[in-house]
Amino acid sequence: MADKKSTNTNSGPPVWATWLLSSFSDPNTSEELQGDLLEMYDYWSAGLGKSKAKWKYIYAVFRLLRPLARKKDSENYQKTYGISPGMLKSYFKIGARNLLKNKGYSAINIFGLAIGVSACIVIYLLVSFELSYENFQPDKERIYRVTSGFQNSQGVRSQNAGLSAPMPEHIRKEITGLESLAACHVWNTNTTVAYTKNGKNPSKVWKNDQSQVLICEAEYFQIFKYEWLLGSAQSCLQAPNEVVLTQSEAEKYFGAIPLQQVLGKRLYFSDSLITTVSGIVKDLPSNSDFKFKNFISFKSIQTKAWRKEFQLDEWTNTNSSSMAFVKVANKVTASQIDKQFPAFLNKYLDTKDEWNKGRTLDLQPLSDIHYNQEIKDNFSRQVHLPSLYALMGIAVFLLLIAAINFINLATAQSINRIKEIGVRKVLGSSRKSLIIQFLCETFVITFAAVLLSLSFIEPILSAFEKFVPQEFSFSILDPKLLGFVALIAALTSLLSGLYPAWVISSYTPIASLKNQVSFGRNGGVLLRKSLITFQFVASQIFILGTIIMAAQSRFMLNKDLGFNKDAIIHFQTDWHDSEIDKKDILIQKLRQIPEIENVSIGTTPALRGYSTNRVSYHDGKNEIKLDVHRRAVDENYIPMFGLKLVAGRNITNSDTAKEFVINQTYAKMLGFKKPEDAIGKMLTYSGGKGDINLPIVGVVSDFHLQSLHTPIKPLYILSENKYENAINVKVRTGGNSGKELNNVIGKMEVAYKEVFTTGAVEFSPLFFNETVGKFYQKEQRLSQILNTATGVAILISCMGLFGLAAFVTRQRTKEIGIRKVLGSTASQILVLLSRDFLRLVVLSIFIASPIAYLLMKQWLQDFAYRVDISWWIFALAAGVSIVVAILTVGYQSLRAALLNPVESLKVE
Amino acid sequence: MKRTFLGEFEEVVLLTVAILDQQAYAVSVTQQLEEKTGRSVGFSAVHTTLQRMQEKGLLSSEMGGATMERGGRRKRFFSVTALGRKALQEVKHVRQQLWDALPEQTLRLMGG
Repeated sequence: MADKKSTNTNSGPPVWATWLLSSFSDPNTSEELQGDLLEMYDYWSAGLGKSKAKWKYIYAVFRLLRPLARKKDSENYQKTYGISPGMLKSYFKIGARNLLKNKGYSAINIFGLAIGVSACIVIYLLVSFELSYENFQPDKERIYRVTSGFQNSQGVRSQNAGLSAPMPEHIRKEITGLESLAACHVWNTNTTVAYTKNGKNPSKVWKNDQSQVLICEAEYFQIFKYEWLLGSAQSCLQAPNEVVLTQSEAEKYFGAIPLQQVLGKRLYFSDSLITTVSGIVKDLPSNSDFKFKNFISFKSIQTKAWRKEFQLDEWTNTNSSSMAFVKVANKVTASQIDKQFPAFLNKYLDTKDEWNKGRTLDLQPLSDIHYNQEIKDNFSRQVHLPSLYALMGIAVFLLLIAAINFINLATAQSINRIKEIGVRKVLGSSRKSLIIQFLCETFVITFAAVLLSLSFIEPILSAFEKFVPQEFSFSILDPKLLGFVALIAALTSLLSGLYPAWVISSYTPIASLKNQVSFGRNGGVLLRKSLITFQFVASQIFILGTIIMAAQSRFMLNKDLGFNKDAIIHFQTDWHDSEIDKKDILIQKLRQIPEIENVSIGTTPALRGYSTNRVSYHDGKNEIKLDVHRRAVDENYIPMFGLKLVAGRNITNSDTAKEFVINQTYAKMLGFKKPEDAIGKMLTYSGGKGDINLPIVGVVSDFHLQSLHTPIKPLYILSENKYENAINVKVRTGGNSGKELNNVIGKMEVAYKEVFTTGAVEFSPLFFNETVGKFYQKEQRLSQILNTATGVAILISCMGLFGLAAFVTRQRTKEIGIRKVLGSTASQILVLLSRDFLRLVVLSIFIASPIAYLLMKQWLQDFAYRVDISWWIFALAAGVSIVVAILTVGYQSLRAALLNPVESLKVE
Repeated sequence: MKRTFLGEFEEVVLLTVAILDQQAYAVSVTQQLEEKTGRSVGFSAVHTTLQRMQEKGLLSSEMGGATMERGGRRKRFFSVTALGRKALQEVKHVRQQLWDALPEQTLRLMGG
């Protein structure tokens, strides 16, 4: 009573301070503190006055609040230890027992996690491999490639990995800030090894793959660090006709002889360049685009004939095989070098020549070569960085879905362990030790999942062989990989274990022992529902992506491209052979094969690359100058590919250009209202010897010149049979089974070999429809990855849903029994049980659809010709999801609904 | 067992608890201290010192019975443990030794 008076009247200490003290001071000393302070207040106010006493009181309260005041542990209880070796052992033991007790749930958990984790690991391996390219070069930040930039007549810029061959030596002299510069040529040629055996000189010819032979200056080895086994960077490649080999190449040529004996051996390149081996270097690691194995000294090609072959004196030609690498001096930036290039180009290039308009030189960092698809060269394999990022995103999502699964199942399952938790708490377990216990159990599961996933890596990699770059390799014992795996295991354990552990350990002992905690009544339900929704949103996005990609690829493969592509085989003849007769002989021979319907000269209508010429037309007032695609063909070409002439006539055979056929797009761009108007008009193009004026004799309707990524461009067709070495063969379409086609190809090969006896260019026939299919390799790869990801996402989500449905059904067994007794039909119960889950699936469809729509719209921007994202795609995806969910939940529900109520009610 | 060092404030508080005998609780200790030393003593400082010395085993405590004053809240009475007595003895002994070691002259100069 006295207390009430003193606190409630104004004369007492501030009420809020007392409240603070009672709420936030150490509970163990709270009571006596409050009393003591009240007494002190009276003492102070007697000695110092009310207001001072008040301030002293407040000050003391704050000093005594936790965490400012020291915490005093209660002495009345024995301390419990959450982390002691004995308890940890027991936690793991009980964790393992629980796993074995609930085999079904454990299997779902472990398997789901293992799939997510293995997807993560495989993607990590691939992505980290691709991102590690060239990172072993010690001065990688200082190494650049000098690339050329061009501008066409429409102002569109393009880049070339090479530069005009005379440039490097002038750059070396005139550009400051370079530590070293190396001019290089990638040379696609064969190598002949001469042996001396029993006094005779047999030889062996090796056909080199692309990007194996590099003609380079000695500075190449100062820029790029190689490990020298024999010779040194300083001494080698200084003289003409020297070659340095990599270890593997030396072994390939000479077998397993001591490396010392390889020095001084002779190699013939392209049958005419004689070289002597002067050094051997170790092969670079596999994460490098620099796969060159034969390094020929640059001085070897200084003779007149070689200079001509490699166009060493051509200022106007830029070939991507002819490159220059530089290492900039310390503390010099790329922009400092780039700034010097415009003046350099002005000095050496004829600025009046319109070809040189907009020409630039730029430094491309070494680290950019593997990723920049704008700058193509003929030795590196470029990867698409956004695809790598997309992959990483997919990995994260899959892992999240798997973790969510775990959370859902574990929290739902915890209901079965409530009694255990109650008993543990009564026996003195603190919340902390319970959380540790459940985290240990999670860790057991994660650990099992990670072990399982490690065994999945190999099969997954071999199943996806197509996506794995050839040079990719990995070792399970790689410390980086093990570190990543450990990180994933720890992260997954925490991510998926912390929440369930928190929930489980929060049950109060009394409630849990009285069995008053029930599933469905605590706040965890909302969370669980949102997690399931999230899972299905992710799956739904994957499904939508897959469907749209499939639709687009079907569209691309089946779209009428404006030409025939069936039963056509195309190949190249030997370009070394400039005698026109040989090609004609071959064509004659091919015509004699009965299965062959027609033969024509010319590159296929749609190509992977392109070649353009600048053609101008003078309509009386203005000159229209355009970069126009070209096809050099013969008179059989247009009928054979089924191209439609809309005006004029077909082209006639000729060895050199004498007339044009153009496409409708070009006719329109030249301003002709009707195609007929174009007939007889003159076009000017610059051939080898000055400008040539030639008439248009026909107009063909538009067909696709490239993949569907690009719109149809202007085109001219001419006949220049002398210079064209691509041949197309149309096979008679009877019942052309694969066997028959192979038979025809066999006959063609025989004919080819009879005509071209040197074998310098092998007969390599391709089916045109397959060639067109290959335009979309990138998309096919992406869609295959997405297909798999979708499958995995659906699988994991469904496993989670299945487990949860099983659990909920079991919880509600009695309810179902009572409902049945009161007259519910099986179908009513089925609906009752499935409704909750279906509601979530429907919600996730509504969330996922707009997200997927935006993402896929972005993806389709890449294509000039694309499918519409129409409503049926969403309907289909929604249908798939709902059906899958019904099947998953339905089985459990049906079983529960059909159960005899006697069975479900008799147990108490 | 390692020796327990007493801080100056700890020593004074411990002594005061001993002086107050059965009646030592935070408030009485604070007031006694202010009275005897004439300096202003923070209540919270006394409280935490008492708690700390209890943790160290120099003091033991028990709750008194409820009374009508201070809103019926009980008091926590402190008493000096054997260890606490030993610590006090030790401090006194050390002091005594130091005083004894003082040369006569100095002692006289100090007015002793």
